[in-house]
Amino acid sequence: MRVTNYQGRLLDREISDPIRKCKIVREQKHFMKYAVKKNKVLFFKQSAIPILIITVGILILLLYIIIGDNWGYNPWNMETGFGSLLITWDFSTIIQVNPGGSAGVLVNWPQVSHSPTFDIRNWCGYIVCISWLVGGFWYLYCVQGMMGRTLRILHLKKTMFDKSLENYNVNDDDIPLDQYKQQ
Amino acid sequence: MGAIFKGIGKGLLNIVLIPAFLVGLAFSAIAGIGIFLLELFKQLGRFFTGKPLSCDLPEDIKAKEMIAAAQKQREEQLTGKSDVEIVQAEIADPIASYRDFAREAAQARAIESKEDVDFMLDDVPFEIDISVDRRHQNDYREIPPAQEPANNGNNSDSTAIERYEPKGSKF
Repeated sequence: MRVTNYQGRLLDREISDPIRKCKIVREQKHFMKYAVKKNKVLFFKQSAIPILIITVGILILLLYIIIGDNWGYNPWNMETGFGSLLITWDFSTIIQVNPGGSAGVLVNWPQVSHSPTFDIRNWCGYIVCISWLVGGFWYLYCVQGMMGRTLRILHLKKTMFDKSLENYNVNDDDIPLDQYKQQ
Repeated sequence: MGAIFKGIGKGLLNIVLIPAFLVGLAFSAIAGIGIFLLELFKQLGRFFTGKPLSCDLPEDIKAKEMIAAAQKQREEQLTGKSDVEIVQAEIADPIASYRDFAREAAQARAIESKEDVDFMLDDVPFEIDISVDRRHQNDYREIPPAQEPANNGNNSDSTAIERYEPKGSKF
């Protein structure tokens, strides 16, 4: 939540000049239109690189499949893909169930069913999956930024154009008597 | 004590709201793909129609123009000259600015050298006769003028190349 709030406040820096310095945006409708467009443009600029990384991964996979004529290839595969770098355990033998059907007891540590192995022949799976993971998390970070900016716009829409008379008192205005008479 | 309970309450609220946040994130991610593709086609349209690729909105462009105009006006007020007058002055006398710079630099150097001399004289504890430096007095001794050999009419110069003249032979 804190990161979302922080990313939302970064929107202020981008839309400050036309609103505060130059007084171009003066109405709530105009502000909403301008801020929403600005949010989309900022998201486009930020998410261009992660989407490009994901696209490059997809292209590499397609080329590999087309050139190797291997249409059933799975880049996450345990034998020929990214899965060969992962360690997996077998949890089926850790609990022994009593013959009476009562609750089982932990009797064994889980056995390692696959240990990590690096094979250069699985290069496609490594490159594609790493690019998808990096691009995917980066893209989600950009999406979180867009959500934060949207919440910030909804908050500013209320506060910037607030015409509340909550703490206003007519008697607090220090107008000199001669000017008061002229009014 | 109240702050601790407030922190605990905020933490619990965050835990409860995490599923809603994840659902919102998922929907935003899907919507984000659509927004990205829309903006991409807009930029491609600008590229193929020859317009400059810029993500600035009309309000941003107008704000930049207004800020640039205000800065220009402030510079004119400070210098008293408009851009046109400055360019005309440069054309009339291109090295005027360099002349001023050179004069200021020379003045600064003159001041530095005088200050350096005063500093040196202040710090010298005893007088040193620096008019004659006797360490190198032999280096610049006067070389006597070259004496020309006396001409006895023989024209025999010891440095001249000896010519071999065979003696008269019996044969």
